[in-house]
Amino acid sequence: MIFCSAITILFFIYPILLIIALGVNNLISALSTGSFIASVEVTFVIATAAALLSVLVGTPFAYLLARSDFKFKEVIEAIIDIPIMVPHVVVGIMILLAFSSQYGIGPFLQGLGINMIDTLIGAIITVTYLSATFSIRVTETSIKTINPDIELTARTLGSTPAFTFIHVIVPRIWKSIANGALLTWARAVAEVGALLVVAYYVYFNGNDVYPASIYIYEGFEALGLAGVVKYSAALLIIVLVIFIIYRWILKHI
Amino acid sequence: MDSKTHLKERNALLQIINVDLTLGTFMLNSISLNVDQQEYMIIIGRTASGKTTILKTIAGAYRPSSGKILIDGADITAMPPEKRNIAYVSQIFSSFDPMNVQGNIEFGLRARGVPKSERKKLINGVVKDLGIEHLLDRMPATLSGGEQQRVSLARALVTSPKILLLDEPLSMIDPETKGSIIRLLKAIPEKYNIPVVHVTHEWDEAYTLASRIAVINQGRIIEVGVPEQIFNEPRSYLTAKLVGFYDMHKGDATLTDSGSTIKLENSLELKSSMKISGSVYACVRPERVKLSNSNESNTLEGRVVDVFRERFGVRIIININNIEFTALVGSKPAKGGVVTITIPEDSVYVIPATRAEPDRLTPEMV
Repeated sequence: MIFCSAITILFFIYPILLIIALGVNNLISALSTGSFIASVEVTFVIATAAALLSVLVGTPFAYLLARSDFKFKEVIEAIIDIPIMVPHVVVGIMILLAFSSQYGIGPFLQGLGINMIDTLIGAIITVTYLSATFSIRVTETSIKTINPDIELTARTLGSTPAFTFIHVIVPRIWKSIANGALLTWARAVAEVGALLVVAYYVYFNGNDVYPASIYIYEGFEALGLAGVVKYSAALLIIVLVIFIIYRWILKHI
Repeated sequence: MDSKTHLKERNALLQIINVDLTLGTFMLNSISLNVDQQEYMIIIGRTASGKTTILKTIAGAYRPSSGKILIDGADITAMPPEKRNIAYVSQIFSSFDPMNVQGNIEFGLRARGVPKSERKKLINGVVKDLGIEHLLDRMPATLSGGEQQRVSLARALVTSPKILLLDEPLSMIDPETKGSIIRLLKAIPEKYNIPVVHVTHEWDEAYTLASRIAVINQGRIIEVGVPEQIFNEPRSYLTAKLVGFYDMHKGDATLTDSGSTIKLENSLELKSSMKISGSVYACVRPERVKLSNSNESNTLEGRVVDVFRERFGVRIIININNIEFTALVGSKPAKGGVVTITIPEDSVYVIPATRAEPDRLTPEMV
C-alpha cells in the first residue's frame, strides 16, 4: 500500500520537479519576456471570466440538479459531462458552428457585431463551455450534503426560496463554490485544443496575443523542447503559487 | 355526518381533506384530519409509516396529487411554505450557520422584513418564555440537545405561526432534559393560542402530551381519538400493538353471561368482561398481569422463559402451553422457574379479527 502510494506520488511529482529544476535558472528571463507576460495576462483574464461566469450561472443550476428530480435529468447530467468526454478540438468546432457560422444563432450574433473567432469573448465562451462542469459538479455535491429539512424550516419561517438560498445555503457552500471556481479557472488556464480552433490568438490591449498554452505550444513548434522549458516552468510556478495562496486563504477565512 | 361532527369540522383551524400524495414508491392515502385551535394533536406511527410526510405536506414541502388542506377555511394546498404561516421544527436541529442563537431566532423575522426594533422586542419576549436569554450569543453547535430544541421552538414561535409542526421533537434529547421540554411543549397550545401537530413513534410521549391522537400506518390514518380511548380501547390490532399491548393472541370468542370466553390455541382459554363473539384477538398489557395464586378466572401457570430489567420493574415472558404472555412484575423471578399469573377479566381487551387489517401489516408487525 505504502509502496504503491509512493510510486503514485513520484509519478506526479517527478515531471514537476524536473521541469522546475531545468527552468528555474531562466525564470527571470521568462518573466521579463513581454510577449509571454501578455499571454499569461490574457490567459488569466479568460480563465477568471470563465470561473466567474461558471459560478454565476452554474450555482443556481447546481442547486436545481442537487434538489430536483425531473424528467430526463439523466440526459441533462450526461450533457453537462460532454466537455469532459469529447476531444476539446471537437468542442472548439462545436462552438464555432454554434456561435460563429451561418447556422443557428451565428448570423444573429454577427448581426449584433459579436464575433467569436480570435476574440476575447470567443475564448471566454469556449473555455467556459469546457470548464464550467467542474464548478457545477463541486457545488452540486456540496448542496447535496445539506439536509433539505433546513431549507423547509427556513421557508416555513417566512423565507422565500431566494432569501433561503442566499442566507441559509450560500453560507454553507461558499467554500465549495470557491473551490469549484478554482478548478474551473485552472482547467481554463490549461485549455489548448478548443482554443486552437476558436481563438488561436486574442485581440487584447491593442495587440494580438496568444493564450499562454498556445504561446508555449508555438514556442515548442518553433524552438523545440529546450526553448520552452523556462516558459513552461514559469507558468507552472505561477499557477502553483496562485493555487496555494487561494487555498490557504480559503482555509483561514 | 351528525350536526355536532359537522360543527366541529367547520371550526377546525386545520383541515386536511382526502389528501393523496405519491413520493417515489411511498403513498399517502386519502388522509383526512381536523385539528382545532389550542389542540395538541399527535400523529403516531412506526418508522416509514408516513407521519413525517404528513407533517411536511402540511408545511408545504409536497403538493398533494388530490385533496385539500385548509387553514381557517382558506385553501392553502397550492401555497408555498413561506406564505402558509405554519412553523415546522425538524427532528434534527436545523442550524442556520454561521448565525449565533440570536441570528437563528431572528431569521424568520428578518425574512419577513420586520424592523430591527420590533425584532428585538419579539425576541426578548420569546427567549424569556423559553428560558434561553443566556444563550443568545452562543453558537448553536455548542448547545446541548435540550437547548437546541428550545432555540428551535423560539425560532418558530417568534414568527407567531398559526400552527406549530413538530417532527419527533424529543428524539434527540437526553432523558434528564425530556421532562422539562415536555412541560414546555404541553403549555404551547394554550400559551400561544395555536394548535400543535407533533409526530412520534413513542406511545408514552403521545399519551403524556396529546389532546388527540391519530394513528398512521402505511400512509393511511387508521384511527383518531382521545388518548384514553386510543390507549385503553384501540379499535385496531395495529393500534393496540403500537400502544403497548404486548400480547395479542388469536382465538374464537363465545358470549357468556358476564362477557365472553376466548379459546386460544393449545386449549388455553381466557375470559374477558367484553361481550363479543367470533374470531378475535385477545390483547393484554403486561402491567395488568399479576403474579398470584388466587382462584380467580384467568389464573394460569407457566414457565419463565425470559427476564428483562425495566425502569418500573421486571418484564418477564411466561410460556403457558406454548403461548407466551408478558408480565410486568415487582420482583425478579428465576429464569426457568414456574410462576402463576392472573389476568383480570377486565384487562383482557378483545379486538375482532376483522380489524387486524392483515393486508396492511408487514410480517414483523403481525
